[in-house]
Amino acid sequence: MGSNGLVRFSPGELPMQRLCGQVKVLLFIVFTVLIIATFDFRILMVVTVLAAAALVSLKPNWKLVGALMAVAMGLNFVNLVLFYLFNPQIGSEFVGTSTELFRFSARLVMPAETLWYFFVRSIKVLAMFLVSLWLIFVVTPTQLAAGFNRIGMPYKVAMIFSIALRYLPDILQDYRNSSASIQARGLELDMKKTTLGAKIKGIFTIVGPLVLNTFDDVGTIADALDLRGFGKYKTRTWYVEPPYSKADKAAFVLVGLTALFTVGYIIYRFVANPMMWYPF
Amino acid sequence: MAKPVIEFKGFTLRYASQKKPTLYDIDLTIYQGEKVLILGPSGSGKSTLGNCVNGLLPFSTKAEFTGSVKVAGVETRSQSIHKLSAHVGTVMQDSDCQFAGLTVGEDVAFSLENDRVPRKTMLQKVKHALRIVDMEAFENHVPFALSGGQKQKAALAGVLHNDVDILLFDEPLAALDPMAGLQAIELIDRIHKEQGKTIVIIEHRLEDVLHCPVDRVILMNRGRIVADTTPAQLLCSPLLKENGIREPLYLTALKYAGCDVTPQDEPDSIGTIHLEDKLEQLRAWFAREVPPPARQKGPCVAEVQHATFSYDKKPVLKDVSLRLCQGERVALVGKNGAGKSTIAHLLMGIRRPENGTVLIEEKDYAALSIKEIGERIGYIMQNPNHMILKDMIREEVTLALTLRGASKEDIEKKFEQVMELCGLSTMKNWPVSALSYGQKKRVTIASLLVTQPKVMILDEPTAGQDFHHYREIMEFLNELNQKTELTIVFITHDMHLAIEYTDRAIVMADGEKIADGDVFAVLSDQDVLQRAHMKETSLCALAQRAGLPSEEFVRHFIQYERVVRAGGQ
Repeated sequence: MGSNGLVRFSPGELPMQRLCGQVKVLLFIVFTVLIIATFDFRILMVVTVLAAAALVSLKPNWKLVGALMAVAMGLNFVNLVLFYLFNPQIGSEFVGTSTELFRFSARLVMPAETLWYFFVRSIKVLAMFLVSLWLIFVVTPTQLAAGFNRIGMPYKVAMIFSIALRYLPDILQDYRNSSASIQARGLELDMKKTTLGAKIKGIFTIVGPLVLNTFDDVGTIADALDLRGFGKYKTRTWYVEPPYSKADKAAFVLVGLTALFTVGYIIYRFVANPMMWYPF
Repeated sequence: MAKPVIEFKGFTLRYASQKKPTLYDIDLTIYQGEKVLILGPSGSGKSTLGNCVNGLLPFSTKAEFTGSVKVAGVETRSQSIHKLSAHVGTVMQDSDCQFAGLTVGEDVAFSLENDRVPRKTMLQKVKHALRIVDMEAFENHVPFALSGGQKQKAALAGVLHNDVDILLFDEPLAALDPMAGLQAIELIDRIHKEQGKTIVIIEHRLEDVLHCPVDRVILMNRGRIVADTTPAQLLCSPLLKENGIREPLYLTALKYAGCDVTPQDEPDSIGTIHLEDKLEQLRAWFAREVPPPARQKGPCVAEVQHATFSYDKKPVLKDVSLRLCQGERVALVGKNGAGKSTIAHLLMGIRRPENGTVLIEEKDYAALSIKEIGERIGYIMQNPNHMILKDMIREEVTLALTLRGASKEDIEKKFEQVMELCGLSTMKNWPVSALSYGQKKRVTIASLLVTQPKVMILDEPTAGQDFHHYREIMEFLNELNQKTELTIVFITHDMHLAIEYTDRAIVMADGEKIADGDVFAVLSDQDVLQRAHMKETSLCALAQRAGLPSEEFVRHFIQYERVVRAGGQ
């Protein structure tokens, strides 16, 4: 049992999964910054292809990836429609020319530049999505905490997430049990037999007491952490972070090069303030 | 003379949130290398005493105190919880909450990480600690795939580093099945011998702890130390009974037989006690006639026929059939993952059989919804706090009727009846928060009884409860069974609960029913017990040592005890 749906609990044996947490976190950060900084199709395409290749090498559960992708792209589409309604000429403003293809009404024209802008924007969302998914599939919560801690985040903050994930499955189990017992007592939670409103109300009936019980557990967990020296010093060492391997060192080089390129690109954008790259 | 490692002197402690002190005038010295049991019923202050040693008091919970506590010669209040943890390793009752890592290795390393131990040394220490508790093969396992006993071993490995000299076990048996409990006690004993650590065990299950020798027992009640003596002295005194601690069963049997037990008999365990001069009396007692309870089987109320079920293609029930008759008391036993809960879920209709059928009152339940089945078959979860949804007892108990749209008069009438039946009449308008654990259990039972079910399934109804609360809950259920002909199924690990309060035992192992029949016959079968991860009671061992048939002996004991208790003793 290596993973529980989305979250991985043990690292896995694939080359990219065996990288250290610090490098995984850094790779994620530099590529994210690069994606946010650029609207250049050529750069985004390189990142997308790299991320997609990395993801394929992890042999993920494609059904899950497909479902998540559908959600991400659906949201992106809604976003683009709103952009368009707000300003149909948005692409032309970025590119500097306007080539009208067709129009829906007097105001709602459709320039080729706006279509291009929307296309690049979608690639950008796709790249972001792939990079995030890559991180989720290679990292365990503890590695994530260790990684953030080693690049400067206080460990008490970095570990909140991993400790929460440790106890989440227990809480879900409690929820399932409570839900079964309340259904037997007559609360209908079956979607076929009740309305969405009634179901949501029913779920809240279960969650209330569950939250109170969880608070009791939080006290016990905090005591357990205290007893084992959590917070004793300002720093700590990490069981999950081995010395850098050759692969880690290679990945650091990639991080360095990407970071240099990103910084250079950001400076270029501020100084030269170029128009958006438009091939047509 | 050995060096004192824990010293309480005139120590009184009051929690900031409470009016009265929880500990009064404690004077106690524990010496290096000793193995000490702190014994007491729930609320006696024994866990509070433990928390004063590991520093949770006063550092984590606010409390006022007078007097002194020294650990390793230093006053605890002048230290910090972290400094104390270098001397005292604590294994908490809830090993689930204590498990902070996402793998066993991470968890064992947790305190080393916080101590900034370099990773290379850390790995060696983790391996070493895992070797001591015999868990090396589990270094990369996730907590969700471990049994209670394995989690506890990981917790123990996690506090063995850095030569802590005191190991504190807070109710180590509470979350374990009987076999795992036995192994835990043996492991603690081995670590005591091999590592020479001072061991403090906090428990209320005297007989189970005494499976391995302890040097001293501190008996506590109502915040005071009642006795500080050897196990043998304590076992021969009336103190256990007076303080609500269950006496080892073999001693109860010997006392029923009229035998005189003295500390010279080495009564610490069934293995050590001298029986030579007692056998005659014991055999004479066994030969006495005791009237068997008259019980008639009612009609069948629920039946599972050739049911199979699997999770993720892994079979958890393989062709299981069983019948439940009206008014029966049934023990459903087996180790974790044997399929007990799945049977309960099948009966409740939360899961439906993949093959086979479930009949309720002779009719296939396939067409019934969970809600409809719930009116006939009730399920009580282990922890009543997980079941109670409303703030007021009245609302909680009538919830099932309200959800079914019953009339106001009908609700009121049934509420009165059920509250009367459950001995809660005086609490009709109380808030739930004012209740004790046992009373909350009654409220959850009352809240199911309003729909007049035929069968009630209880998951470990007495888990984590001391002897007094165990008796209270079980006597109540017994009375309910007699008054209403309700069929009660107990999912349990507690061997003595099964033989004391049920007529029939169904044993599950690896998804199969391996035994089903008279509780005394089934639970004296060695092979069945082993596969169910249960252990025979000391009554069986006593019978064997006396050359008496164990099944008959246990039956005699239980029937005799029923007569004694009915006689008002």
